[in-house]
Parts: sequence; structure tokens; C-alpha cells
Amino acid sequence: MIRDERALYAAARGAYERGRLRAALQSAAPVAPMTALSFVGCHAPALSAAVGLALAVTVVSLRWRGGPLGRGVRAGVVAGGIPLVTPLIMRSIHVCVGPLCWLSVGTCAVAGLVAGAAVGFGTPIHDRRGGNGASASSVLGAALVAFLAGALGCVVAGVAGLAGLGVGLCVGAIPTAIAMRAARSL
Amino acid sequence: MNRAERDRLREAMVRLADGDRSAFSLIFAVLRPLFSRFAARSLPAEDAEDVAQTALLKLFAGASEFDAARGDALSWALGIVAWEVRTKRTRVLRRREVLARTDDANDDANALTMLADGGANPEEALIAADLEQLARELVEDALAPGDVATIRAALEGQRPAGLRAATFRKRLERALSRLRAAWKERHDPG
Repeated sequence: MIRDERALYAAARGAYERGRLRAALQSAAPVAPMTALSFVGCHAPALSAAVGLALAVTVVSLRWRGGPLGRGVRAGVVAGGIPLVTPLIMRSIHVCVGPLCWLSVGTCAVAGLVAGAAVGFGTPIHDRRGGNGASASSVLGAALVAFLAGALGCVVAGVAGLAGLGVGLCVGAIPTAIAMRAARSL
Repeated sequence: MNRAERDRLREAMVRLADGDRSAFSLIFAVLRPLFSRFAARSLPAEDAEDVAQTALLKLFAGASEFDAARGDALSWALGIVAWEVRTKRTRVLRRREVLARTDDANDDANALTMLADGGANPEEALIAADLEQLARELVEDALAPGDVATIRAALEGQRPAGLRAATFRKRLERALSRLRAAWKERHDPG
């Protein structure tokens, strides 16, 4: 069907947005096994589902929108795998008694720290524009995704575990990103 | 397109792939006429415009996957339109072949068999199958058993044992002309 110029421009724009959405949905594929792992390991299905949904929506939105925020998604998913898996492994070899398991909370904080460092280190690698190191927005996008991915594992440690994850991520990501940026600009 | 323009296009494509929508208009403005010219060189005007627009839509649909490390943006874009041109030409060629075969064959039954073999789309295949069925019925009803056997042998590519090729060919010609006459009488009496 032959279109006039205005209709063609609109159709091309629509095709571009649909293409971006399709690519964004594909990039959210790892969220399904991550959520399944959380279902199996954390025994809190409602919370796992809610966090998994939030992670999927965040990944798709950031990737579809693109720009610096979207550039950090892949690094965030990879880095988030660390605090997702670590507390689950810890929980499988250690039995917690009582309402608060400090070992799990500590594990989430340490795993968050490592994930934060990975975010700070990894985001510039995924900077497709070859920019001068990770921008603050890229690190922010990556950290948000890493937090949600890690939260899938840290729900096992409750709110304190999520707080530990958040603090660890910030402490790990900010200095690493600054150091990487400084190293790149040298 | 000179080197600087190619670099500008590449840079705009990288920005668009990264989600920078402000690069969209520039790329559209550069590639729209380029695609039309490219398609017009290989296809008739009415097909060229259709192909150029289809290629442009496909390019933008895949724009977020453009990777500058894998090649030049212009080559990538021209690859898309070239593929669309090739697809269109193949489709047109196939349609022409089917039509030519239909025109060339005076014997309707044979033409229909060929059409069924090379049917370009489901609609044509359906029509061909329908007509082939009519031809089969006609062969069974209107022809003598000897003619039916000759036509069947020809369709199966098997000459009866002990029959010379020239004799078989003559018998087949006579059987086909009787079939043609029967077809005309039944389906085209005017």
C-alpha cells in the first residue's frame, strides 16, 4: 500500500517504536527464570511475583525509552544476578531461627556491594556510544535494575535484607563509577 | 553520498539505535529519496514506490538493533532495500512464469496441471486444483478409454511398453485434441 509522505513518516515512526518495544521485551526474557528462581527459593510467591513484575516493567520501559538509562539495563541484570543467587545459596546451607536472620541480611548487603561495584565497573562497557565512561544516568538505570533483580533473592531476608541490598549497591556503585569515569578521562 | 554525509548518517543511526528520537527526522529525510531512487532503478514505477516504502518501514522497525561496529549505516540501509527489490522481482517473475505457462498451453487441462505445480499463492493453487478436478472429470467422462490411458501415461511420464515414441506422441496429440474439443463443448460452447 502506497502512503503519502505524512502517513509514511507516521508509519515509519510507529514501526520504529514497535521495533524498540519488541527488542525491549526480548531483553526482559531473563526476568522469567530469575522470578522462577525467587519463587522456588524464597517461599514468598506474592512478593516474588510483585518484584518480578516490577523488574520486568522497569527493564522494558528503560530499554524501550533508550538513552543513558536504557544503556545500563544489561549491566544491571547481570550485576543483579549476584544478590539474587547469593542469599538463596546461603539460605540453603544455613537454617535461620527467629524473625530476623542477620546472616541473610549481611549476605544481601555484601552481595549488593559486589553488585554495585559490578554496576560501576560494567556500565561503561555497555556504553554503546563509546562515551567518556558511565554517565550518572546509566549507572542509575543499572543500579535500579540490579536492585530489583537482587531483591528477587533478598526477599528471603525480608525488609532488612532489601535495605541491606540497597545500601550495599549504593556503597559499591558510586565510588566505582566515579573511579571508572576518572580512569576513562585520563 | 559523500564520505561526510555517510558519517553523518552513521552517527544518526547510532543515536537512533540508542533511543535518541531526534535523529529520526534526519534519517527519514536522507533515506526516503535514496530508497525511492534505488528501487526505481530496478523496478517499474508502481512497484518501486511500494518497495521503497516497505523497505523504509522495515529499516525503522529494526533500527534499534543497528550496530555500527558491524558495518556502515548506508550499506546496511541499502542492503534492506536491495533485499526488498529482489523479493519483489522474484515474486513478479514467478507470477509471470505462471501466466506465461497458462498462455502457452493450448490444452487447458495441461495448463491447469502446470499451474497447480507452480501455483504462486494459495488462491491460485485453489483455483488450479478446482480446474484440475474439472479436467479430470472431463477426461473420465468424455474420452474413450484408450485416450484416457494415453493421457494418464503421458502425465505419469510412462510410455506403454512396446509402443514407439512417435506413435505414442501421435496418439497423445489426438487424445489431447479430443480433450480440447470436449472441454470447449462443455465449458466454452459459445
